[in-house]
Amino acid sequence: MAKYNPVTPELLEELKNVVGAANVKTDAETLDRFKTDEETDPRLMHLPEVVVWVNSTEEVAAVMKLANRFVVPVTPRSAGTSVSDGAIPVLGGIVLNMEKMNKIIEINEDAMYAVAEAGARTIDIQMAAKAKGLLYAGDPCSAESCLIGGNIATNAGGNKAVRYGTTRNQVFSVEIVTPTGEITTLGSRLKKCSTGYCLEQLVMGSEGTLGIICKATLKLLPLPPYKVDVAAVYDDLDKAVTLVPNLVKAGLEPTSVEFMDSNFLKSSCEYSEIKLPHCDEGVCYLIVSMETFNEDEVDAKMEKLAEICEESGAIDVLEADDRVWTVRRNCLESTRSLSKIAQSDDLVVPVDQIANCIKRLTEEAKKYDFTMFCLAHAGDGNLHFQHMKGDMSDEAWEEQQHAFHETAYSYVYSLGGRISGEHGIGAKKVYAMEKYTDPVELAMMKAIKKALDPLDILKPGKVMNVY
Amino acid sequence: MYNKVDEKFIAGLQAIVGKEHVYADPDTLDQYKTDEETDPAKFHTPEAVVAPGSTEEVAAVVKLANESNIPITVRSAGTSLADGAIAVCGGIILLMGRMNRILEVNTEGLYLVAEAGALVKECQAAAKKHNLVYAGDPSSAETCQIGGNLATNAGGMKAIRYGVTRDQVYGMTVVSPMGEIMHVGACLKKKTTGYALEQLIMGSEGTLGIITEVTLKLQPLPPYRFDVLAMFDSVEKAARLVPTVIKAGLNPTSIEFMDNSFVRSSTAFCEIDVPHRDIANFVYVTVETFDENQLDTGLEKLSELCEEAGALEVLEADDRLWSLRRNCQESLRILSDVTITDDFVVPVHKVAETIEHVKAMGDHYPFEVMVLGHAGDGNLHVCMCRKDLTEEEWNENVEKFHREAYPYVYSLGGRLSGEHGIGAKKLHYMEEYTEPAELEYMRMIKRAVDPKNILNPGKIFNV
Repeated sequence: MAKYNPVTPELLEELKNVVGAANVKTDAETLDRFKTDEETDPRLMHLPEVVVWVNSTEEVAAVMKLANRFVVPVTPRSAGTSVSDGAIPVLGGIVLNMEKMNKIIEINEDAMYAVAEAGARTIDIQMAAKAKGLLYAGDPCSAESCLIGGNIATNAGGNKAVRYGTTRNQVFSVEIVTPTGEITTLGSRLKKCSTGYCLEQLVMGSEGTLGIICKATLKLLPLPPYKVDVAAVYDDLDKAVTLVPNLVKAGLEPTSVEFMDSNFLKSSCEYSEIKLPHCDEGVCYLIVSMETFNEDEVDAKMEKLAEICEESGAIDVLEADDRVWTVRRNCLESTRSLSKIAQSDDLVVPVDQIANCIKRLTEEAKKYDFTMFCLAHAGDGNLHFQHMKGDMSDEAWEEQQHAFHETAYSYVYSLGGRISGEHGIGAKKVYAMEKYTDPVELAMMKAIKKALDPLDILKPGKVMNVY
Repeated sequence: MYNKVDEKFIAGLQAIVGKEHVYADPDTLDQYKTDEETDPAKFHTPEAVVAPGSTEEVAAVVKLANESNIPITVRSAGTSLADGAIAVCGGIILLMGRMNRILEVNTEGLYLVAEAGALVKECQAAAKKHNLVYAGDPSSAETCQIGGNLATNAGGMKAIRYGVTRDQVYGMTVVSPMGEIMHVGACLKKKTTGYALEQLIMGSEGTLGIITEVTLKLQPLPPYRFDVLAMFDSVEKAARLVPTVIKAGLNPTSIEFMDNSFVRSSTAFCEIDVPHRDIANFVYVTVETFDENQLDTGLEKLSELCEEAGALEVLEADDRLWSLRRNCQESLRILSDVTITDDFVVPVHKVAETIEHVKAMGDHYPFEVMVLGHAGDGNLHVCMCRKDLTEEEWNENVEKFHREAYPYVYSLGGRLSGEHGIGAKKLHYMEEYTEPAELEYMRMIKRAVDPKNILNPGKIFNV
């Protein structure tokens, strides 16, 4: 394990020289605020020694240089919406808060790009693009609060990934500070490039361990003006999951395909006081969204979609109006009354393995005392199993969750899947990362990390253990 | 720096791949002294040539090379235009061509698995059989192999709609520079599980690992398509067409440009005559669609745009006319023994001005500047023919041209290479024009994964 120095008055002075005294805080209240992200378990929280706010890439670089010189770890923080302990300073040191670097610098309609600082809110970028009739296609569920830098660091997924891909597909280039405090821009606004290593793709999704994202040039796309939302109801899971490849092969290019299992459907309908068709019949719902540029296409696509749904064995096809979307949005909320403590999985499997995975793991979950419901981004194979503790004891909950996940993770990997589709590894899943990753691949990741960050200053304890 | 290949090493190689797949005779070695490089000054004869038959054999060879401190140059089909397959530091050439099988086509999961030596055209054909498309389509598709495509992040004709090779790949089996076998990437549409090593290794031109097996994305094949060839009497008019096609919402699959010098050389090489041959600049446009109605409306719209841009003539572009575009590179051979093809890339909306600028530059040089390219994605191929210039005059003027052209390209936000890669050919420019911190980042990665600099040394940058 790398050894660190505590934050000293000398370092604090130097930090104040870089960012100004007002941006360096060591008071108990501030430190307490930044001991956690979306993590609710106190045992996984950790206080930083100092919180530093930065206002420019140059300041970030200067802080990293200091951190290397004093051998103090740095944990960058976006909006703290991580659900994998990504923003928790697990080894103390500095929390580097990016939220003041929040400017949207440019929206260029002709060349179709946006430039934003890492602390700009994702929703603000979406709105700024929309105002010019354009689309920024990254749309994580936390879009209202999360920041673009964190999205890029975790390769956030979200609602539109089926059609547009994940965050790494929305980015032209990033200005970063390297772990040793150098500033460089990776990537470019070119549609093709074979000029050296694809460093921007390496840094994206590295969860901040290979560099701090300070600014990004994002792709903007034409905003399709017409939308078609349809809910297909199935009483047979195997039939339900054939819908997705059939939609793709028909060239319908769905924007999203959201799956709600019968459990979530029932609990959310009750919670929302909305009786969706068949909600008590043990069915599942697939909500398909499609977009188009052409008004004529709307009907044609709707028709084609209904046809495919019927052919694949849907027992009903209805328009996905506000009622349907409200039920979908309330899924997680609706389970809070069932259980105060809950845990969410973020598994991802090849699209053609979704049914197998849901069936197998639902069967497996029955062996235990906890309750498990399933939501999925069916179009891209990303499954969120919701585990509810109910009135289990702490020990039983922990033990059974661990046992379940041992089986589940092995199974997911056997299908060619992975333990994180979009939430990242953070600190939370490091043990699984180390256990299930191809050892040669893991060794190469560690070799790269060590080469770029020899003192393991940047976000130690995240993604993997280097030393 | 490195050891020389000796009898012991040859014996070691033979023990791994079998005697019949290790070559040290002068004829074979001579065959592999070059790829598509035409300038003899750039050739380099390897010390041995090895053709492995499996990932395990590749790994064993790499381990042996590390132990013996002998460099390896990996060779696919040798279609590199950047001296990528030339063994510039000596050592051995590792031929991937024996590993040429297509292993699986999965029509539900929409992917194809192939060994790295599989021909790209066969991957394309295997997909097409099932009404699917493997969307990578470099001009050399008839001869090149899929492994080399990934290593160079080959571009090709369809990039404007489908992206480049790295967008067509789920994952690969890779032998690391130290001879370990790993599987990077996955058949997944989303993933945040560690570093995207598959993205790092693609486009690394074989310097970070040897790709031995690939899993390619397959997509639905649009059933309808139309191809148009528009002829213009000036570069300006031809270039003017490009942004209008993109903005019209036609979602073109390809937009290809050929200047008149290429029209003349390619028609001569292919022995095909076309109207306006002596003055025309060509723009080819391909549009694919799932909607039958779009065939008529799209074609109409496209013809309209061509006329508005000032086209002399608009023809349906069949295979014959397309072959003119595909044979451009080859056709240079009738003009000159020695030629050079640049491959810079600029932002799409700068294409027109770049073409005009570099052609005008040609007025100050003893060679004509010929331009062809993937106008829809900003990637231009600028070709110059040595013809009767002396070696000295040629080298001097080419260098001078580059020193004028490259800063211009970078000033527009462009790069040295859109798809051919840096290889050995553009190494000194890579080191000169890349941002130092970025270059150092690359070097640190290379040093970390290939401490003895065994894999493709002398390519992209010097460590």
